[in-house]
Amino acid sequence: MMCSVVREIIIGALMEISIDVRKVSKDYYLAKESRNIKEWFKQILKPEYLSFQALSEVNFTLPKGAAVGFIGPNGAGKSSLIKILCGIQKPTFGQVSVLGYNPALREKEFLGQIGVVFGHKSSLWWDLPVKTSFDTYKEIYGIQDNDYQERLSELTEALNLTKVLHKPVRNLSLGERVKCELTLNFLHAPKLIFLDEPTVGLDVTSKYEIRKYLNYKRKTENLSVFLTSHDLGDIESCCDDAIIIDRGKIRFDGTMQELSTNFKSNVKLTVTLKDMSQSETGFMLFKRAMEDFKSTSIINDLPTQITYLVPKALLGSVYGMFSEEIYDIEVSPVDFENNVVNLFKTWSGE
Amino acid sequence: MNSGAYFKLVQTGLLSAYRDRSMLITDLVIATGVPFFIQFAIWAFVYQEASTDTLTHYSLEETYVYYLAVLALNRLNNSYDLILRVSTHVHEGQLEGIFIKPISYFNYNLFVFIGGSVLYYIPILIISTFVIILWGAWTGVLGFIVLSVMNLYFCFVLGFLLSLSAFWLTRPDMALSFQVVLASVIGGTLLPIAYWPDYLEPLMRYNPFRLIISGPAEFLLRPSVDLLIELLCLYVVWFFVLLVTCKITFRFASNRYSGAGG
Repeated sequence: MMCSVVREIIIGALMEISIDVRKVSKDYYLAKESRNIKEWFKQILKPEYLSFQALSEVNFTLPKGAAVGFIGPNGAGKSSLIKILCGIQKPTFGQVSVLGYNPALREKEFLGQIGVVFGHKSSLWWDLPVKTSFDTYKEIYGIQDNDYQERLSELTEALNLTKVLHKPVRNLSLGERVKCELTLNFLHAPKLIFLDEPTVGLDVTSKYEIRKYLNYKRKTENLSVFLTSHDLGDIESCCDDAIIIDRGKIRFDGTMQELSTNFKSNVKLTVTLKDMSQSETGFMLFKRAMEDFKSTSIINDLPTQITYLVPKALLGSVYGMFSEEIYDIEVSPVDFENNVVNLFKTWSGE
Repeated sequence: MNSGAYFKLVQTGLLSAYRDRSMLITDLVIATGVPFFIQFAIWAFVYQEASTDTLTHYSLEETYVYYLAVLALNRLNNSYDLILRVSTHVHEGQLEGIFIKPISYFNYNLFVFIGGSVLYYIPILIISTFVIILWGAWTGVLGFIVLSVMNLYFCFVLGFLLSLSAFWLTRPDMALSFQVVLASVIGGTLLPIAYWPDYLEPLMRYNPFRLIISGPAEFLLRPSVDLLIELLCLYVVWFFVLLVTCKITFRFASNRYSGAGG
């Protein structure tokens, strides 16, 4: 009796958490490249492998109904983590629980509750009309006729897909194809959706439609979202929380508000030359003097203009170096994207 | 998974094959018709030169029917598209899109493969009708049809096992060449078993490719209880061996799979 009560409490607690990742590491093994025939024969007879760590002791939780944006440069481990979370790969170490299931077991009940959109991969049949793929997956997910019609009409309207349903997939534009992929993954009303770079290569209208629909689903159905994107606009528009990952390690895990507060400690300083012919030497001297401030970094360097990222605390000292007759200066808040780029630059130097 | 899902996958496989009409025409007319006319010319010449009407086993008429049957079976039980599809899934990272759906990769491919083979069953039915009209051989035709249906599943398992090499190899060419050469040579498409040297007969008789190509054709021409038992026993043994190998290899392969980047 006691055991069943404890179990109920544990299940209840787990149900409130969509994703629970504890100390997850993932190592990959690659066959060693052979440089000559001798090494090639040796590699065939006794293969040697090189290992590299894609993820290192990753910990985080995603509460039910929350949306987290995963930010990181190429090769940081974002896609490896998504593959572990949806059961495509197994972690080398650590524990993963998604919607209370172990994803590595790939239970059908679990797979029926998640949706996964890979922005540059498709699960639609290339030569067949989009609707044929939808109809097939309707049966695979066991969606009731009424639900299917209702969801399909909602999705096609929201994502502006009505005209493409009967076109073969190969005739669709990239934006239409990604939106169809999104539709396919929403048809079975998942509780949690993984989006791996869903807006890569899309125009602003398509991005807007996708972001708007995601926010609508979060609001109406308490959908949990795990989003990775190189377009930080996606993360700013759809997520409450952000995780920054770099070379397999989590560098930041907090709310978007906390991240913005951190970023507010820097400002963007744009220095523009008034007259190129008279003050080029002075401009060069100024640039050299700025190199002494180790905590500043260059965002953009043009012949007559340079933009720095400067900590607010240093602004007074930097300001003292200006000569008003030669330069025009402008201080402005740093946008989200530049802040993240600056973070990656700082870490890559570590 | 409900039967509706399997039916939809069969339908999708069928539609994919139908949409690719150029391939359909190539398969049914060129890949089946041209080899038949070559065989027709060769065997007409051989029988013309021979002193009797029957060479070892078959008359000229039976030889033609044999080649019609094996060429149709060769096309029906062809895992070329399956190998190519699995290889594309593996090398282009499309496997992820299917792995996250509530269906096993094995079943997904099986039903798409069956759907893709439906149209290629038409020549089998035409040959059956032709044999009934010609000889009224109901037993042989019935066995031929039933064995050809059983073949589809067996051929899928064999093709799926070959396709898993895509997890280790960079290109699918080796598996595709193996499939084509083995089906043509030891499957009996080029030459009936009876015409091979004695020392090669065990290989020709007991290899799995015989079951999907020449086995049903032999039964069409010479139906007997002994042949039926022999073929069924071979089916059971080979099916068990291939299925177990397939499952083990797939487990290794999917653990090894790391997908394309991104």
